[in-house]
Amino acid sequence: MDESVLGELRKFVAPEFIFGPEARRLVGRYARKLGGRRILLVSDPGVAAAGWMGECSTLLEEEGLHVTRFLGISPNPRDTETMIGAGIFLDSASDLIVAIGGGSAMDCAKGIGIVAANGGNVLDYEGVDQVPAPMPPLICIPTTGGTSADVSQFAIINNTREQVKIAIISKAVVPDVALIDPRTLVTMDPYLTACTGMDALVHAIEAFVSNAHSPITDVHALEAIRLVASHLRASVSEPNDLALRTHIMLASLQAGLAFSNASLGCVHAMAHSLGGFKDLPHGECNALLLPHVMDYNFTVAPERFRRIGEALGCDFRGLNDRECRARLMNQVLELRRDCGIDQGLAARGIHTSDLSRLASKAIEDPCNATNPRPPNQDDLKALYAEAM
Amino acid sequence: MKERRDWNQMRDSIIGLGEESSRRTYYPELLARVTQLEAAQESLRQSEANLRVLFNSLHDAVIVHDFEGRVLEVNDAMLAMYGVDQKSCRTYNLMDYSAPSVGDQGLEAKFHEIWSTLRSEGHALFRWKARRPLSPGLDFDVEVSLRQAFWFGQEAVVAVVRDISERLRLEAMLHQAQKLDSLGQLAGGVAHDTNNMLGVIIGYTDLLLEDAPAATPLANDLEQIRKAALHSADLTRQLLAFARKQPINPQVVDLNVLVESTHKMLRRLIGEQHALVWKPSTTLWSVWIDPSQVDQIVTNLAVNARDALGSGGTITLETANVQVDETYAHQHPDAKPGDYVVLTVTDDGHGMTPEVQARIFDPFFTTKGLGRGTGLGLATVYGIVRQNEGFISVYSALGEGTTFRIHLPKHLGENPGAQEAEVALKGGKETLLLVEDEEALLELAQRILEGAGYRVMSSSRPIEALHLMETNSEPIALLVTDLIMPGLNGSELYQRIHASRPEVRPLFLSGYPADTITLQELSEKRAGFLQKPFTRPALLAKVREILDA
Repeated sequence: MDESVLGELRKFVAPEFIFGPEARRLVGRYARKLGGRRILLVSDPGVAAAGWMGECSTLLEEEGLHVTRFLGISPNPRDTETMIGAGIFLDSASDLIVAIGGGSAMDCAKGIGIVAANGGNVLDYEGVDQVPAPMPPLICIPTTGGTSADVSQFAIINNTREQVKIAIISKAVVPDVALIDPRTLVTMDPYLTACTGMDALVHAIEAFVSNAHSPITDVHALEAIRLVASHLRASVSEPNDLALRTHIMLASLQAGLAFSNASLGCVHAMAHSLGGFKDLPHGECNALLLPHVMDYNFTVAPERFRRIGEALGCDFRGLNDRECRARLMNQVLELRRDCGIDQGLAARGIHTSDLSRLASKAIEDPCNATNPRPPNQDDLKALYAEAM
Repeated sequence: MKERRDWNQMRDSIIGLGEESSRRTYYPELLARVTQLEAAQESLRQSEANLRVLFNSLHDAVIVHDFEGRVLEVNDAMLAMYGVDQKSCRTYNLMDYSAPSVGDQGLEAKFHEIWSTLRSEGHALFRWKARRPLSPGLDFDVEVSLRQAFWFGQEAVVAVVRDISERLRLEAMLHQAQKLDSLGQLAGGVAHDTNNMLGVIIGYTDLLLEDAPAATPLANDLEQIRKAALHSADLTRQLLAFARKQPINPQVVDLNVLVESTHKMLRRLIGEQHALVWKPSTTLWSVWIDPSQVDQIVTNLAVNARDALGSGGTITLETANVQVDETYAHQHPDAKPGDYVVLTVTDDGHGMTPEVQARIFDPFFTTKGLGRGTGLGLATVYGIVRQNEGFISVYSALGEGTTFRIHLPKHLGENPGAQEAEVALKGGKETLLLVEDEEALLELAQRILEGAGYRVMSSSRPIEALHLMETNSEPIALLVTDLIMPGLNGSELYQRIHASRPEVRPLFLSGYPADTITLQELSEKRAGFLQKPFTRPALLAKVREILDA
């Protein structure tokens, strides 16, 4: 598989992004340069409470732009919230969207943009390349180190009726500009830091073993894995260390560039189902499922998992595949535990009786398409069971 | 296998090399928006053009201006009304479009007063004197409606200006006609009562004169009384003419002939120092009028013209046939469309101010010195012309003389042939029934008639007269009765008598016949009519005339 992708024609999609301290403060200039006059500022109550949204709003207004705020977003952004936001965008005659926050704020902003430009319901655009008209200019300012929605062509929206997260994958939802400022991460609590960090790790690992990986995505994926492995533990325990935050933010960016172009795998397919069902944090779901899916996939790509293990800091010298596999699983579980994410799905309110339903939803997820080992529903149900 | 194949397709689409997978910008959508906006703009442009058509189709002038009087926008009607063009109209301030009746200072104050009302009420409606900046002599009356508005976001005033000079002129003419009408009724009423009294004075004077030895001081004094009474009777006759209550004897006449016949008299009336020019039309339609009324018209107008002239000057009399159309009739409320014979009397004298013109037909209005005129001359002319269903137009300006144009309707029918019979003054033996509610007149008439040998049954009350006739089998030759009486009027009394004694013929006496009997009725009843006040010879002649007919 490694060599097979080399002969392929590939594209690499990424927005213009500014990375570094104070990058967020450029929001006014970029909003103006993109032609915005009336800005819909999408955020969530947590980010607003941390003060990031207020600052962003002020910066925009200082540029002479009119700002309408939309804060009605849950941790897993709902289709209904997206529709309300689109209504506000149109009613306020806004012409540009700024999203500041975690994955939920940015994914919701993407959904708002899609509906504002195309009408209908946001769920209509589920799947790949289903968004006909590009959306209004979007500026993303991530405040968590993991989601990577600020650089990705993914938008994940919670279908409240079906209790499942749907994926919208389209070049149309790649933001115009991402202002990636590690300083925003210092307001995250340790658990959120852990969850989002693990999310970045899962992005990197799934992108690296994806059947759509490419040489360019591989570079970013491996670097992201290395950065998370080296700095996440410290970042969780020393939340105010800007240097550590910067490493994690960079890891998240690189993981995002990788998975946005190589796509993901079964961890995400299952996490979308799980998150939609129980409203659990996305990063937490990923972290709980990751070791089991890695184990499931190991046999079809042992060489690539070896490289992942090395990036995670494993010493595989003299070990056969079976030993490597065990060492790798241990390494991931250890990292997870060190970051404070332990126990399994059962501890989070999932019952054995839920597993069939979770699997039946998960099998529909497009992320399965790029999993190195094509799963079936029973495989996914078994994996959920292992994660209990 | 199926699942796997689907995932392959999905993988390929995620990798994103398909047509739909290329990244696009928002700009095509912006372009679509721009296209929509352009369409909306075009629609607005057309709507604006439509509204402009409406704006310029208004008959009223519209002037949009600010609260400093600066003109912001006007419609085509404004340009026409004020005699300016699109370019020049904005160079003038609202002050330039107004006639400064109270001086420029006052005008500005007046504007601020109006604008202050406008600000508090939101609208204002008032009359105004408008001015054409390029011809300030031609000020005109307008009615202005103001509304506050925003013009390109600025506070402004929309003025809708209606030219009401024509309406005011018509109103003034109508008012004049109504005034003359009510004056006529008043004058007629006064003349009626005065006539009765004059009749008594003249009648008794006549009786006394019969008995007084000729060429004595007594006879001379009586003659003076008689003269004064006759002169007064002449005044009431003129009043009646003005009131259109003058009993008349119209005929088909040629105005040229009648004017021609007054020429010598006019020459003398006008005097040596003024020229008299007579320009008769070669062909002239006939008119249906009492010839004596033509004399009154010509005499009064000529005297009026003479008095307008200083030393020297010319009076011109002309006749012409004229067709009056709907347009002309619309502008002159007195006029009806049709064919008219016009008698024009023009002088090149001092002319009249509009104020004088407005009152010239009022009875007793005169500009002449005390004792020089009664003020009834033009009033009489007016009454006569209206009585004959004609109308008068007057053109006059100070220093430019005056023209009276008398329009008399063209006669359409045949000449019924009027006869003027000279009846010898004689009495008779017949029995007459005399009814007159005015006791003094009754007594007088009875004395005159009995003095001439007639047998007279008399009564001051019509009902009593009827009773008198029914209880008396004696044949009655003539009913001599006043027309206007309480209870039965003269005409009704005659009807009642006629039912049982069809041979009785009537002679109606009145100073005021128009409301109770028409000329047509008179002729149908083979009736006689004698205008009060009458002289003894006139009464005797009329009685004899009817009895002998």
